[in-house]
Amino acid sequence: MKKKQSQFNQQREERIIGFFVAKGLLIAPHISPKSSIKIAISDVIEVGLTKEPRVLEVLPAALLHFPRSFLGHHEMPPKLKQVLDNIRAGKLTGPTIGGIRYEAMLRWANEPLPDKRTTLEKDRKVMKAFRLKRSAVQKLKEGAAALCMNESEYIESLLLRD
Amino acid sequence: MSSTKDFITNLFVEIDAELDRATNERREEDLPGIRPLHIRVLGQLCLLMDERGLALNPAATRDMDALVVGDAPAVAIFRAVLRRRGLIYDELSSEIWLPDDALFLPSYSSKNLQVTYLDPISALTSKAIKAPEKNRFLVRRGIELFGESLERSIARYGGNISYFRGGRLSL
Repeated sequence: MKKKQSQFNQQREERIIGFFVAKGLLIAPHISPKSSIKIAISDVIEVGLTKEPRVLEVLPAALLHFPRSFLGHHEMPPKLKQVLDNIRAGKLTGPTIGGIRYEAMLRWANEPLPDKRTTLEKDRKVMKAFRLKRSAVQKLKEGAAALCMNESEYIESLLLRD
Repeated sequence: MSSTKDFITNLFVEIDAELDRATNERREEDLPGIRPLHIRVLGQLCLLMDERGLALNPAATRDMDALVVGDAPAVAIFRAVLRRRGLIYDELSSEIWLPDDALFLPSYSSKNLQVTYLDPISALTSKAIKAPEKNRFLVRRGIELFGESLERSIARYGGNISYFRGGRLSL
């Protein structure tokens, strides 16, 4: 019975770490990548707390980039949910999980992945609505057209220029 | 296992080639050459560069902790090659605590580039003292593999060996 449990734990660990290796979030030479699998959030937490805490360090990044690869979103521990909310809100501080500091989890959420296909949380667009005077809207249209930008890009370029 | 070692070796081969190219370009422009770049690899990646370290089955994030000494263009080349290969240089590497008797082992050597890495016992001692929670299970496997030599090293710097025998971490 004990042997069976140990085998199960070993396979679970390999599945979880293999998933993160496949997504480019971890390097683990002893484990082969497993890309097309779904994993339970509770399993990741269990592996993080009993075998390899580094899976907790990259879990928020994976949840934000690949949410559909995870099962059990509704059973997510409040602390982990808080970490995700803080990252989405761009906060610089947040809770520690299993000895992993929030800053480390935030870092991986904001690092481009090797596949370059995912949009980082810090680069994700947010919907905003404003009520502007017609003359301001006209100026916005003209300014954007002059620089071959859409209106959002034009506003961003005005706000973010050095 | 050899694929990760190859990946790391190829990384240094690429840095070396880029340093060579940059030095030649500078010579053609009558600029002084670039002095050799010295890289001392720390952190989790140094375990992946060592046969005994690999026996611990370590998993690593994509950051490279390393003490890097060299001219600015050489350090820039090092950072750029790392980025291209999906790794990130940890700018706070110089703040990593190392045991007084830390040992560095040779990894790669050429006229442009000297690479050494922290030996596994020194690396595990550093992790046990400064980040015991994150490294609890890794250090436990290390104690199983290296026995008394690692226990003595951790105890020498004030680490609590019994902590690494404990069970699961708390969320």
